[in-house]
Amino acid sequence: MSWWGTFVRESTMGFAIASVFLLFGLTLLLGGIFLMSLRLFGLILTDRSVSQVGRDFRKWTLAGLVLALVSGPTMWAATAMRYYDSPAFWLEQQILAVAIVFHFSLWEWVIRKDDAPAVLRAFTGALALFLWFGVGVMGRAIGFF
Amino acid sequence: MTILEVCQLIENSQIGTSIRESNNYWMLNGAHVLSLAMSVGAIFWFDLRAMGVNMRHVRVSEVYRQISGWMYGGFVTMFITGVLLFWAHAATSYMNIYFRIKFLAMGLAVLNAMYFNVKTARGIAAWDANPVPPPGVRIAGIFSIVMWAGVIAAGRLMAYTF
Repeated sequence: MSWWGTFVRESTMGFAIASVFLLFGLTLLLGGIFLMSLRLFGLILTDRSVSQVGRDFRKWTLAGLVLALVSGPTMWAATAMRYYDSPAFWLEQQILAVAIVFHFSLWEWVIRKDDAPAVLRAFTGALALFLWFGVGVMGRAIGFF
Repeated sequence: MTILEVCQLIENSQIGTSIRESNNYWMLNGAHVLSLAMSVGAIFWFDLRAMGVNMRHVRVSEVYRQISGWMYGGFVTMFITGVLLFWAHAATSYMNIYFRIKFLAMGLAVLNAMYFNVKTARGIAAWDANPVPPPGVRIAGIFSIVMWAGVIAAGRLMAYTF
């Protein structure tokens, strides 16, 4: 067990605060993904180009991801043995890995292009919602499975 | 009958018990948490515009018009799932300090929004297109973010004190 994990675990408030920051990160991340996906579907902010809207949402969405990626492992470090037995945790990690690869490849590419085909945009938006909300659902399931 | 007794009746009701003991309870809990993205997650972007931090080239009223439908949908989902969760844990929640803080923060956030809509937004034509709105609007934006962050934090901390 790492010294940081030990500190967080032995500080019940520390673990609780880490989970609060995880939730802040998820709200920023999922909120940004949700609204940007709506733009990719052509449902909101259509008078602004995809790349303009992409620039509007990108920074804070990334901030949410960074916050989640820091606070998540903080919680994990404190409860590693308990998470080891959780099938929800392992599924969450797998979906998270795919989501991160997707985010820094197809997603980043599509939100910068103004001439991507509508089908590709819709697919990218749908996949983003599926992956990131999938991470969220599995993450919530950790407490139960 | 005291409020606590009413809450105990609600919690021990057939519906409250079925929700609490359901195998699918985690889905209700998950839906409540994830609809944060559509409610608070959306209002956050409007607050950033109100603060003059993001989307400065879009009119404040336009950001609101584009996002509000989805945002209200998110809040409706949160309300429905929240009512069901409360039904299952009415008395426990009522006695929980973080639950009370959560509702206080929510009340203040709603009052802030109402004040903004009734008072501050009256003169909106003068500053709607300004990249950085007047101080009153910016304060409303920051206050909104802080209050909703408080709602999230208190809601999360409820779980550790149930």
